[in-house]
Amino acid sequence: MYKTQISNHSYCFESLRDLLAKASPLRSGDVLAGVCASSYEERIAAQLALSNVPLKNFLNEVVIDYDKDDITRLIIDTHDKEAFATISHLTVGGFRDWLLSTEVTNEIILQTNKGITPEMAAAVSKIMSLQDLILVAQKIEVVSKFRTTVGLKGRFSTRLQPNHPNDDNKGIMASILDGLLYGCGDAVIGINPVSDSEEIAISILSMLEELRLKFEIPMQSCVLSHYSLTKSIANRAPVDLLFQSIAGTQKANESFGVYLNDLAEAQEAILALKRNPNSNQVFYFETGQGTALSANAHAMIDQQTCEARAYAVARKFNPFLVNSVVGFIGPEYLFNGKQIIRAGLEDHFCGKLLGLPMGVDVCYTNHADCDQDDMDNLSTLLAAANCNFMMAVPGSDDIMLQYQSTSYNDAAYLRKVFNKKVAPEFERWLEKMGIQNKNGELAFANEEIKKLLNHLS
Amino acid sequence: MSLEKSNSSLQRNELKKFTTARVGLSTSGVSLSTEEVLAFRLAHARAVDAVWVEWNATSIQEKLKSRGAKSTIIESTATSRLQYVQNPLLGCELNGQSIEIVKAIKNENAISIILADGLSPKAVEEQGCELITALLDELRSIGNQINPIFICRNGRVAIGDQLGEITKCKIAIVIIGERPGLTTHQSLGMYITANPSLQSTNADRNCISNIHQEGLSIAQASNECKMLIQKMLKHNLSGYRLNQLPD
Repeated sequence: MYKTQISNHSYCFESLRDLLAKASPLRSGDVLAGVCASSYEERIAAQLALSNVPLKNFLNEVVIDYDKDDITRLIIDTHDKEAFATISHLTVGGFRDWLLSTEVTNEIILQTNKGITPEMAAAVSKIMSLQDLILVAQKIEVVSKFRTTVGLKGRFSTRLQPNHPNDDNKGIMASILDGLLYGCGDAVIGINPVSDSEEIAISILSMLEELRLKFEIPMQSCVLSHYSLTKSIANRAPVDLLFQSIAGTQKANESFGVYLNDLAEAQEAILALKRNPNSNQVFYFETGQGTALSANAHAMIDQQTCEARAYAVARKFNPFLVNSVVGFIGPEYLFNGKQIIRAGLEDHFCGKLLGLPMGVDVCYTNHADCDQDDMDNLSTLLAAANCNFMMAVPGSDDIMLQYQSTSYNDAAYLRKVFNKKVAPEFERWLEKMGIQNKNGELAFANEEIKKLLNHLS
Repeated sequence: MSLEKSNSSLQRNELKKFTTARVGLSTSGVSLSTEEVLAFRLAHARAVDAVWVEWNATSIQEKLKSRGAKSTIIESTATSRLQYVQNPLLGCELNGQSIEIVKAIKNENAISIILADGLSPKAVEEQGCELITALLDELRSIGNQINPIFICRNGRVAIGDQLGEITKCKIAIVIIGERPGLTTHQSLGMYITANPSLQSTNADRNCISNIHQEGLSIAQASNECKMLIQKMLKHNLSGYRLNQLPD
C-alpha cells in the first residue's frame, strides 16, 4: 500500500502496479484499460508517492507474479546486483536527480544499466518532463554494429522502408533507389511484406543482396516477417537480420506466437550464417505502447510500463536495432499528437537507459487526432535526444501499411538542422558514389547516380 | 527476381513508373516543393474523412441480394463511430439483438463470412460485395456449407471469435475495411480463423491484407483464402501453427 496526503485528502494506491499506472501521464490506452488516475490531482498524488519509493522496492514487488510470467522471471533472474549498487540507495525521485546531474555521464549510466529494471525506468520516466527525457537520453550513447555502425554521437541513421502493396520487386527497388539518393538506409533497408510467403521473402532478400554486392553498399537488409518464417528460410536466403515484434507480458507475446526459447533458437540459426562481420547482433525488434492491451494481455499494468518490460526481452538478445513504432497502434492507445510525442520520448529514454540501440518510428494513422506538424515536433525532439535512427518512407506515406511515418526529406532536414551525419561506413559510400559531397550536401543527379538509377531501367 | 537491364537512362522523377509510393518528388533544397506538401495534405484530409462516413448496411444487403447472396445485418456494442474508434473492445462484441440473430444460425462445420466496416466503411461499400461474390465462387469447391453473410456494423476482427463461439462454425472469415491510407481508402483485409471461439487469439488467425485495385486483386485474395482454408481443414488448425506446416 502506497499513500500520499494532499490537503485533507489521503490518496491510497494498493500496489506498485497501481501506483505506476496512476502516476502515468494521461493517455487513451490507460483510460481504456481502466487503470489510469481518476483525476489530475490523483495522478500527481501518485507521482508524489512514486517519487518516494526506494528503487530497492522494485526488486521485491513485481507487477506480474514471478510464477506467472516469463518476462518477470527474466527481469528478476538477470538483475545485476553489482551494477545496481551505485543506485541502490536512491528513491525514484532521487534517481531522476541522479540521472540529470552533470557528474553522471554516459559511461556511468552504461555501467549501471544492467542494474536498472524496466519498471524502474518506467517509474522515473513518469515523473520526468519532456526536457528531462531529452536531456538524459542525449547523453547516453548506445552503439551497435553490423556492416555499418549505428548510434555514434553526431550520427543519425535511418531504416529505409520501401514497402509495396503487392511486394513487387521493381516497386520496392524504385523506393530504395530514391531513398539512397537522400542518404537513407544506413541502419537497415527493411521491407514489411504483405504476404506470409517464404518464396516472396527469399525473392526480396535476394534482390537486396544483389544490390548490396553490385554497388558495394555497407548496408544490411531485413524482411519483417515473423521470426519463425525467417528462421525457416535461413538456409535458402541471404538473411542478415531476424525481425520480431515483441511485447511486455508473456501472454501478449504468446498471442503473437513469440516464445523466448524459440527466439533463442532462431538467433542461433541466424548467427550460424555469420553474416555480421562486426558483432553478434542479429535481432531487429519492434515494440509499441498499447501492444499488450491490444492482445488483452496487459495484466492491469499501464501501457508505458508494459512497453518498458518488452525492452527486457530485447535486452536479453543483444539486438542490432530496437524500434518503438509509437503512433502506429491508433488513437485507442495514444489519442493525439500530444500523447504520441510524450510516448515517443518516453520509449526512447527508457530503451536507452536500459542499454538498447533505440530508434523510433515517428508515425500516426489516419484515425488519430494527429498530423504532419505533430510529426515534425516529435522527430525534431528525438533528434535533439540523439535518437539512433528513424524510419525513412517515401513522401512519409507507407502505401502498404497505410500510415504516415518520417520521410527521406525529414531525415535530410534533421541531419541539416542538427548537423548530424549518417553512419561512418555509409557516409564514405555516399561520397564515393557522388550522392553527397564532403559537406554532406546531396547531389540528386550526376553521372554516378545515373549508374545507380540504371539498376532499375 | 532479377531486374532486367536495358541501355536507356533513368531520371529520378521516372522512378514513379515503378511504384505508387511517393518517389521522385520535387524538392526545394532538401525539403518538398509547395506543390508536393499541399498534395499530401489533401490526401490526408480525404483519408480522415473516409474513417468517419456513416455506413449504409441495408444498401450493402441489397447489393448482395442482387448478386444472389443471402445476408443478415448485425451490430457490435459500439453505438457510434466515435465510440468505435475510441474503444476497440466494443467493436469485438455483438450487441444483444445480434447475439439472438446469430444464435438462430447455429450451424456446425459451416463457414461464416463476416463483412465488417472496420476503419474504412467506404472500402467495404465500394469493394466488399465484389470480394464476397468472388470468394463464394472459390469456396463452392470446398464443400462445407456457407452461412448467410453477416454484415456487421462497427465491427472489429475479433468479433468473428464470438460469432464462432455461438454458431460453432468451422471457419470464420472476417472481411474488414482497413484503415485508410493516403493512396487509397479502398483496402480490405481478410482474417481467417479455424474453430473460432472466445479462446482464439491473433496467433490463431491467418491474414490476407491489402486487397484493393493497386494491391492484391480480389481474384488473388479469394484464391489464396480458399487454399488457406483447405490447409486449415486438412490440419484442423490456423494461424502461426499452420504457417509452420508445409503447404
